[in-house]
Amino acid sequence: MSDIEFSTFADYDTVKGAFTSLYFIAVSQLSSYLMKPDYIRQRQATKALINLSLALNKKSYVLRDKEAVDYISYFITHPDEFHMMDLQTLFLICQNICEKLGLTRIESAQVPKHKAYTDDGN
Amino acid sequence: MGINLQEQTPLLLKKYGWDLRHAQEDTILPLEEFEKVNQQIIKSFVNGFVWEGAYPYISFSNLLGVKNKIMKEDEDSVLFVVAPPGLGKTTFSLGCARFVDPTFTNERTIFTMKHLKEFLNKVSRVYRKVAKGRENGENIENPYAGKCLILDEGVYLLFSGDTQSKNGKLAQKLFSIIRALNLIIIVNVTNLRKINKGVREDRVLALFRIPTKGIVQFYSKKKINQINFKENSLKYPKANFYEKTGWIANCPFWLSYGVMKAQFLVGATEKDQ
Repeated sequence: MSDIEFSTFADYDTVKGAFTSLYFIAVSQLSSYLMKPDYIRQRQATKALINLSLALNKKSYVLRDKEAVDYISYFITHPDEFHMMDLQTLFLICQNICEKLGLTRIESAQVPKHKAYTDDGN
Repeated sequence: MGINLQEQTPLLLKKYGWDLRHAQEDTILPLEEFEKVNQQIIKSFVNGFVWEGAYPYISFSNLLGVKNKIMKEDEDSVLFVVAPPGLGKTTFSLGCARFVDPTFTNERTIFTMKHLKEFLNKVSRVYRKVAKGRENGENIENPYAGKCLILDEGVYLLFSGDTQSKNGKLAQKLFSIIRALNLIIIVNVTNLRKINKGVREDRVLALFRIPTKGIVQFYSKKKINQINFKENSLKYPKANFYEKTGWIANCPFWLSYGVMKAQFLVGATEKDQ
């Protein structure tokens, strides 16, 4: 949170609250979509992730990763092109931003692991 | 602005879903420390030693700190590398030994108690020579200062008994020699529960744990004391840090280790017969 300036503690608390509630809505919608993938759940998850991405977009520079920043921007403008794995990836990027901003802990909310990322990549 | 999702998604998924899974802000190495480790790697990993895959930079940086501590202070502690068999304990400890001590050869990898006793006799003689020289006012340099030694295979059981047993006495001797000659000892341990409580609490300076192949976790002295030993299991606290590690390539160093190990196995089976 070091790079966000607040005049009072109440300000800080409100902004933090807004970020975290968006984050947890995204967690629950994405979890429900990954567990039972269907069109309605995909729409709901996409919507929740758009709200989260819009809130975090300005802060995405904390990742110091141009590709990830571009990925978020692209999602905001072309949400329909994103499907299951893309949404999962986007969520992980958002989660990383939240973590870097000190808003949430990764352990506090885990979405079910998608098959692709349980592979260790070795 | 267009993005090819089919290309970009797997790359980012691997990065954010796997590579950065446990990354924390405080485990990113400062640039000057990274440079220091890099310089040491260039200096150490030569003459037939080839490391492949990721360098465990943070572990190596911590090892440099441990080395400084052992060299400057009167430290009589050892480093533990804990893992079940076959996950790369020896590979990691050989890499660490070679990193802190560029002169490290496989002759200083110890497999048996007999070998350890021989080594202790040898260094005791050197220590006597150094001490006598210093008594006579000569400035004899300690040839073993900052040198590394690996206790591999069954030798770790040395630390399992109490101080009154035969092994306990040998362990005491080892600790006094470590202190006198500033040796760095890496002990490969397969079962931490078998290690004596006293040794675990006071003599272990740092612990590296290998939970799966290619991953190393670091536990400081404070964290080691937080390990919860239960009757049939043990629970580790959250590690200080976690990183990827590589392996030793099929280089002359690794081949000579193979020869040493084969000799040990032949010796062990002959004894059985």
